[in-house]
Parts: sequence; C-alpha cells; structure tokens
Amino acid sequence: MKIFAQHGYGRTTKLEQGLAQNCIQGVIFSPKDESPTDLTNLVINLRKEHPDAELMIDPQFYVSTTVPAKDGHLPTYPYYRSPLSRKDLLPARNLTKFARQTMDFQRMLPVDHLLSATVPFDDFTDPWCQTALSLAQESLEYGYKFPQKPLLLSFVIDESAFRHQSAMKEFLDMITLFDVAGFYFIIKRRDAYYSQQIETNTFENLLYFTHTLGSLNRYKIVYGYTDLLGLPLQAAGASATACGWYQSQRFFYADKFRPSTRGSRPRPRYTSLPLMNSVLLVPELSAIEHQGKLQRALSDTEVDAHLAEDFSNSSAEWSLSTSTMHHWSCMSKVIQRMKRFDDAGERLDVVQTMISRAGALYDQLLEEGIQFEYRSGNSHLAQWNIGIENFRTQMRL
Amino acid sequence: MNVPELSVDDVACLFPSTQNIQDPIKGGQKIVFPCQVNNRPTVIKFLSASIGTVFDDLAFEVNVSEEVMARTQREVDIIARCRSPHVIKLGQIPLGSAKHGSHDLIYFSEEYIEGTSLKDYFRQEQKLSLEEVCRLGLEITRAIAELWRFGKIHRDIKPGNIMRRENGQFVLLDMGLAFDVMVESLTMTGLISGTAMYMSPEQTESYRKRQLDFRSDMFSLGIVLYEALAGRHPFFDPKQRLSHCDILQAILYDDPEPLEIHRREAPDELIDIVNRLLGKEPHLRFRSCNQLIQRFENLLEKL
Ligand SMILES: Nc1ncnc2c1ncn2[C@@H]1O[C@H](COP(=O)(O)OP(=O)(O)O)[C@@H](O)[C@H]1O
Ligand SMILES: [Mg+2]
Repeated sequence: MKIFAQHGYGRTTKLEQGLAQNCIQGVIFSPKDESPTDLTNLVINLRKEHPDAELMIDPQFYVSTTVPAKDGHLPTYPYYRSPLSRKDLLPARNLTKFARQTMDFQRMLPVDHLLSATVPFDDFTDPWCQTALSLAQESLEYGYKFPQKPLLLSFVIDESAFRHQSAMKEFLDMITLFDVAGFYFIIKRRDAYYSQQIETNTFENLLYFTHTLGSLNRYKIVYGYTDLLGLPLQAAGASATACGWYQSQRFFYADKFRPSTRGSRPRPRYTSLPLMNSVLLVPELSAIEHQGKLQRALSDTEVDAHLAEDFSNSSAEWSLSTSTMHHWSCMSKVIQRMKRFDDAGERLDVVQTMISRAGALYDQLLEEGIQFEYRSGNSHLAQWNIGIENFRTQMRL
Repeated sequence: MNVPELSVDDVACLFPSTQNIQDPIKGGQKIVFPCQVNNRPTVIKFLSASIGTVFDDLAFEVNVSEEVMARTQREVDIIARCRSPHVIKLGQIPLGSAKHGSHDLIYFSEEYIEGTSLKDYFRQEQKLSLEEVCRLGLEITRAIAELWRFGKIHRDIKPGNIMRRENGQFVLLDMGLAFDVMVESLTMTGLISGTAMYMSPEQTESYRKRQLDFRSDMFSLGIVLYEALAGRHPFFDPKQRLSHCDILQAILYDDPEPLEIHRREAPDELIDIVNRLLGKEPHLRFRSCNQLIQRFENLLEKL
C-alpha cells in the first residue's frame, strides 16, 4: 500500500521533497509535461537519489484519440501518434507497433514497471473497450521479453461504466486471464470539478473490481489520478494510488486533455483527515478556527503543528508546495494505519471508523453555524459508507 | 442416450488380439471392458454413436457425422499429448467406429487403472482425511492445468470421473470428447439431470454464450472437494428428488452451508480455497492453476 505522486505541470521540487520526506513512495511521470530529455534526466536523477522509490511512466498514449488535444510535449515522444481515429486502430499490425513503441521508450529508463498503451472507453460493451483489450494483449506478448520490468496493463475507463455490474463482471472474467504483473487504471470522472463525491453504486462496483483483481487474483493494482477515494480503494486491495498537486491532478476528468478556457486557479484547500475531505482554507478552515474547533479538524501531521501554533501566519503562508506535502502526508498516514491488517475487512473498518467520526464532526461544526460549500460538505460520507457496506455484504467481508 | 449393450464375446469378436476380457462396468454413457492388450492392462470403452433413443417419446436421433468423428479425433490427440500422471493415458487400440447390430458405436481404449472410482471411494469412506483432500485437489488441479495447456477444458469433473489408484494417486478420466457436445445440448434442454450436479454456473448459462475456461473445471473440482470434506454435496441432499431446474437454481444462486459446520478440524486455509473455487463468477476463483497448485502445496507442507 503506497501513495505515489502523479507528476504533472508545475513540478518545481515537489517530487524530491515528497520522496525525501517519505510522504510519497513513488512517482508516475507525465510525458506531456516534460520534454523527452528532461523526463529522461528527471527519472535518472530520482532513481539515483531514491533507489527504493517506485518509478513508472504513464505514457499517455490515450491522449492520441482526443481531438484537438492539449498534449504539451507529447508530440515530441517517438511513440505518440495524434490524432488517431478508430480506423487507425483497427489493423492488428498498427496495434502491435503502438504497443511496442510505447514500451520501447520506457524500457530504456530506470523505471520499475512498464505501462502499456491504451485507448479510453466509456462502457465495457463499447468497441473502444475491445481496442483497449487488443492493445493490452499486444503489450502483454511483447512484455514477456522484459521480465526485469514487469508490465502493468493500462485502462482508462469512464466511471459510468461501473454502473453496469454484469458487463463489468464479464470484463473481469476476461482480464483475469491475463498473465501479467498488474494493472494501471485511470477512472475518468464525469464531474469536471474537484470533489470526493461518487455515486454509491459506481463506488460499490469499483470496490468489487479492485478487490477481485488485487486481493483475490493478486495482481498489482495502481490507480492514477485518485484522491482521498484512494484510501478505500487501497483498503479493498489496490497496491498504490497516485495523486498530484493541483486539484486538476488529483482526479481525471474526461476533458483533461482538451484545450480549455477555464483559467482561474482554484482556491487553496486544506486536507482534513478528521473531516475526510479537503476544505477551503479560507473561509472554511478559518471559520472552524474562529469557533475554537481547529484542533478537532487538523490532521496531525508536522505541518498541522504549525497551524495549531500560529494559525494566521501559517495559513497565510499556505503554499502549493506545503499543501501538496500535507495532502500526501495525510494519505500516507491512513495507509500506515491500514497496513497493519492483512484482511480487507479490517482495513475497511479503519476507513469506516474515519467516515463515521467525520460525520459526527461535520454535524457539530454545522450546528456551530459553520458553512461549507457544496464540495467541502459531508455528502460524500454517506455515499462512501453505503458503497462500502454494500460491497462488504456482497463479498461477505 | 443408450449405453450400448455389448457382451464380452462381442468385444472378443471385434478385437481378436485382446485377452482376458472382464465383465463390463457401465457408466452413464459408456460401457467399459477391462482387458489385456499386448499384456498391458487396458480398458476398451464403447459409446453409442446415436443419441435420443432412451427418450421413447422423443423421436429424434443424431448420428455421428464424419465431422464429429474428426473433432473427436482431435480431442483424443490432445489427450495423447498430455503428460501429467493425473490425466488418463490412452491405450493401444485407437479411436474407431463399429456397427453392432443396427447400432453405430464409437470406441477407444485407455490404460486400466487398478483402484476405485472416487464415487465408490466416497461411499466407502464418507469423508476423506484432510491430507487426502489436499492431495486430491492438488492432483486434479495438475490435470486441469495440463488440459488447459492445450486450451482444453474437461467440462465433466465429478467423482465418477476420477479414479483413485491403489497407491492413492488420483487420475482424471472421461474428458469431454467432441461427441459430448451433442450430449451437452441435450443436457441444456433439461433432459439429463444427473450430469448437472457438478456444473459451473457459467456452464448452466449456455445462453450467454460465454466462452468457458479452466475456471469452470475449478468450480466442479470445488464441489468434489467440498463433498470429500463434508461428506455431502454442497448444494443438494442426494436423497431428495430434485428437478433439473432446482439444480440449476442452486448452482447459480445458493450458498453452500459453511464447511466449518461439517468439518470442524479443517484448516481455514483449506476452507478458503474450497470457498474460492465455489465462487459464482470465474474471476472470483483462481486466475491460474499454478496459483492454486501453490496453495495446495503450501497447505500440504503444513499438515
Ligand atoms: N481407465 C479406467 N480404468 C479403470 N476403470 C475405469 C477406467 N475408465 C473408466 N473406468 C470405470 O468406468 C466408469 C465409467 O467410465 P467413464 O469413462 O467415466 O464413462 P461414462 O462416460 O459412462 O461416465 C468409471 O466411473 C470407472 O469406474
Ligand atoms: Mg464418466
């Protein structure tokens, strides 16, 4: 169970800092945000300084099918082909070529895993899903040649696909026949705004999906672009979840790689483990402080000690880098707590205890008159809890 | 479908080179004659090439076409290539067809196994020792793995198709020959219920046209292991008369009674394995035979 950094735009020294402080245990690199030379140097240097860190590159081949794409440096990578239509992806020899070139770039670098080329899909019955499976098959066959860099098969799946349990189960029957080290999943969120919310049924099935692959079939499961939701996913059986610094790197929305006009930077947030959410530093956390309830909402990391000591100064200096280290540390803290248990049920107990405490704390704060905007509120708690309960009933956990 | 009516003399007449032909054993589908061929203990198995005649009110008959014979030959070839000691070996008399009176017959031969079928062994022993259950699981999984190496699944793993040699080793018999595909389509219509007792959920749902894989055999093995541990079938009381529909319902939706009730001293690890094998979905079982083999081997070391 590990937290990885999801590398992206605006790196500065966050990766080095995160690894040095052990609030992350690995990095998933984003070629879109570095030139091939810079990325190569970055991987080599991090490998040298942090031999134990898990390093891998998300090749982002899946951006090829987005037209027009905001694909940054990607066009300078040898394996990247844009724009790709369905027609380009039909001939088997093209798939072979895409699969191999994507792995060839990665295998020259000191990474721990190779990640396969894939195309996104919205539904398990959609023809793009077939293409994704064919790419996986091609990658798998090529991957046998490089046993020292075990392959993770990538899939980018729209969250709505998880509403249909029987289609998901058939997909599971297929991919559990793959003889591979594991999978790298990106769940495409429907909501373009950062929040912890997820439909109960989707979440329940996502837990089933994760548990089946990770705990029962013993694949290594890595989720990219996953925020606090990564905690219950790791409880269910995922090996690692990756999360970036900007809010837009903490989840994956469908239009992530489309040119956007939305430019304004989101307001800074504070990750409160007692609330199981990220709340706005101002006015939400400051209001909590004003009511004398700050201690109850703090996450008990090193940074929190400063906030407790001198809230106005520390919060005024709340930089992106501070908030990133804090966010990663918070998640790592919960992971440490869950790691003690071999059993998914016991790990889920940890999450559910946190959820119920968070519910009680929200109630108190709301009673005190503290207001939360919609996305900082408590509505995800019930969704998570019901999803986990239903999952546990189904799996008798 | 008819088990062919053949006598020892008929067999002697058909295969003059065989010696010491014994009284036959009748299975659900075949008539089996132990004998010697070139001094090797052998069984010759005959099955009717046409099916349907048992169902007097049903006037349909399916004949062995050349295509079915060719497919059967391919399946036999696979068995011939199998190298596991837990997959039955073929005998010297090759696959062939013959006429007996007005009936068309298919025959082939196998090594004779000195021992008892697991079905009879269950009757003698009720419950097997924990060690023997693990070995049964391990050895039949090895047989499943060997068949899957050729992309083949057995489709009919059950106590009557497992032989226990006198030295305790288990051997899997009665591979689903292509011929059985026709039988299976009859099974699906609900005409034969006996063979459904060990089917996997996905086998019963043939309408979904899902491709079966080795995990279907794992489910059937799960039933056999449950029976070996508990002394009873996980889903049915054999004394009750069940309709074909009841059987399918139970396989698809029922949970077996917890094994702990029937076998208090069974280790959790073994119970967990059997429960996993009985998972209703293939992805809930084991993703490779090797994973399962390893679990059994670890367990045997600890016992
Ligand atoms: N190779 C063999 N050696 C000894 N006995 C056998 C052998 N093959 C079959 N038998 C006996 O004959 C029975 C029926 O054989 P099987 O091949 O399973 O036919 P069916 O298709 O009728 O089930 C088995 O249950 C077993 O008792
Ligand atoms: Mg039989």
